[in-house]
Amino acid sequence: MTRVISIASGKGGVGKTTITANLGVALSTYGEETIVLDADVAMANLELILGMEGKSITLHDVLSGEASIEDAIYEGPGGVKVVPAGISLEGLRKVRLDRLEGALETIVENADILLIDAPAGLEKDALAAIAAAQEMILVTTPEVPSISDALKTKIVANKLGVEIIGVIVNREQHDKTFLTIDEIETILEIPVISVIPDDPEVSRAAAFGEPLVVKNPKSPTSNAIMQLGADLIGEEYHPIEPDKKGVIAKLVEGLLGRRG
Amino acid sequence: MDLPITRPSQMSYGDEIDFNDLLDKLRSKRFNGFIRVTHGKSEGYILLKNGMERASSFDDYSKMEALQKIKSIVNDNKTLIEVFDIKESHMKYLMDLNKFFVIDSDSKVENILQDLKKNKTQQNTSASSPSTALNELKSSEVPGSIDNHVEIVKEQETVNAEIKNEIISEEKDEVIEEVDESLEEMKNISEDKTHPLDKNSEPGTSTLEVEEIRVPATEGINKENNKEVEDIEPEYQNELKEPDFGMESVKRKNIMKKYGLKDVGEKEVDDILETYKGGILSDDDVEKIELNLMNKIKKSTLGIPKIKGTEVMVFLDNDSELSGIINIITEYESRSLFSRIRGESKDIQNIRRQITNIAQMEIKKSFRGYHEIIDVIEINVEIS
Repeated sequence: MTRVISIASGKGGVGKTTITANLGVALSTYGEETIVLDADVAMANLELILGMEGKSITLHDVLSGEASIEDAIYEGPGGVKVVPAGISLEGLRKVRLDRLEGALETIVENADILLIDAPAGLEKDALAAIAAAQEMILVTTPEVPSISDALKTKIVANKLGVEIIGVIVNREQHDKTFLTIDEIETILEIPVISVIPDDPEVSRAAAFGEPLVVKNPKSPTSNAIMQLGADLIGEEYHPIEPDKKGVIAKLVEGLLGRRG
Repeated sequence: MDLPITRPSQMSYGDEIDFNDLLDKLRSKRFNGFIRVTHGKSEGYILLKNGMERASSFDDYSKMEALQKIKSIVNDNKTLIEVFDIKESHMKYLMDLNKFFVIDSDSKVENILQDLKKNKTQQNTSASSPSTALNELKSSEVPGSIDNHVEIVKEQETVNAEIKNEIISEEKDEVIEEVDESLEEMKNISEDKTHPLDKNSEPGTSTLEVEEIRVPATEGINKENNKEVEDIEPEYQNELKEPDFGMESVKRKNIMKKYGLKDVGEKEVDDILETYKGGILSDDDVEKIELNLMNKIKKSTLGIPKIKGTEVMVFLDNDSELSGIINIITEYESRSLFSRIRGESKDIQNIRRQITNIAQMEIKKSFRGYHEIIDVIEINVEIS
């Protein structure tokens, strides 16, 4: 049976889309038939992270009744299937969210896992994305506004009957001004299933339009996401240790143009 | 003190209850929780573990000083006394949390609380001197003077035999301390109120003798007080049904407070979900809309010239998304026999279109901002 998991946050800008994209790729590398659906029809950027922008048929077209969902599924990095939302404001006017459920029914037939990147906030589009899934993963940063919104999202999801798998704490910094993992677990009353460190590699990978787990699998963030993917499907994952080359060795390599 | 304020399990004013009785009852129940005493702007707390007073605060006072302050106001009619339950497993956390207020084991808490008891006894009995109490207790140790002992127990209005024995042993300790130092060992044993008598395992001591005598003597009182116990039971049963506001909830509350976070209210969640559903229509609402639409369409249709009469039926379906059917049956007066034979004239088509437009306009007026509803409501017009 296909698992339909929505990735939601409440607050925007916590790294939800980045995690969804990378988690989708991670699950695909474990051999799971994974589809990532960008349900953020107003602010779509999943396709940017995966380097799949400019697709002719998108979720916009499906929700506008102008295309079938099968035509909006594309193969992305690592074999992950992607349904981009499309970045057309023009199409937004025709979008009918009630069509989302029908579209999902069709795509789950051919997938093991469907990840839905839910829009931020708790507007109608976000709630439609949360309600369409059976399970939900919350994403938050260890900051108060983010936790506050995550708490609200969790309560609403509970009310919608969605099972909450846990919370991912993104951009974790060892800073006393932020909430600790224990405090986050206590406030949200759900387990923290992954802690992703603050990593400049994430922005770099996004700029290249490449998922981090592909571009830099040795980074702490990649390891955390791969571990999360493994945990979700009950697989084992052995973190890839970063190269421990000395500064001089790196400098020599750089001078010789052999950095890669 | 930092304690989880939930719904109190018991609440009364100082003049309505006897604070000593309350403490006795809680002790006999091996109660875990705390008592809040509010007097004007002042507030005091006594944390009880297994029925024993373990920590105390009153405004800026703590420990013994706080207990003394609480003692001084508990009988006032303006003092509100509330009892809050805590799970036994959470007591350690609360003790740690309020360690500043924890009463030292060698403190004189017993003296203060016994002072309270003594005051009560003095009020109720004419014999107010310690020597009288000593006489009573001493006589209670003699098998032949059980009745005297029972009288003391009755005065104390305890709930069951256990608490009676406990109080008596406490009183006895106090008196013995004053009179006979040779009974020091017995006092130490009976000071442990968790199992005041069970722990006294030395055969042949006077305490054991007292126990042996007292058990049958208090049986009658037990029966007498069973009713009182039964009255208390439902109260405690209700408490058991209360949600668990334990250690985790206290911890969570503190963290939430620290970061200025608030839980989302039920109403707020419902409001959010209502937005998602686009507004919830109850069956009553649907019926009202049906009636309203029916009247409006009928009235507008009758305004068309040559319409003799009209009947409108509105059936709205509110299952997943609002949809429906509107049937309009109209009698048009110019329909002569010749017209009927000839078939539907252009006039009839115009009238039908006109009625349909009227119906659509009324629907739009009824569902402002949701004009798409026109697409999901079917309009049938029949002209006779």
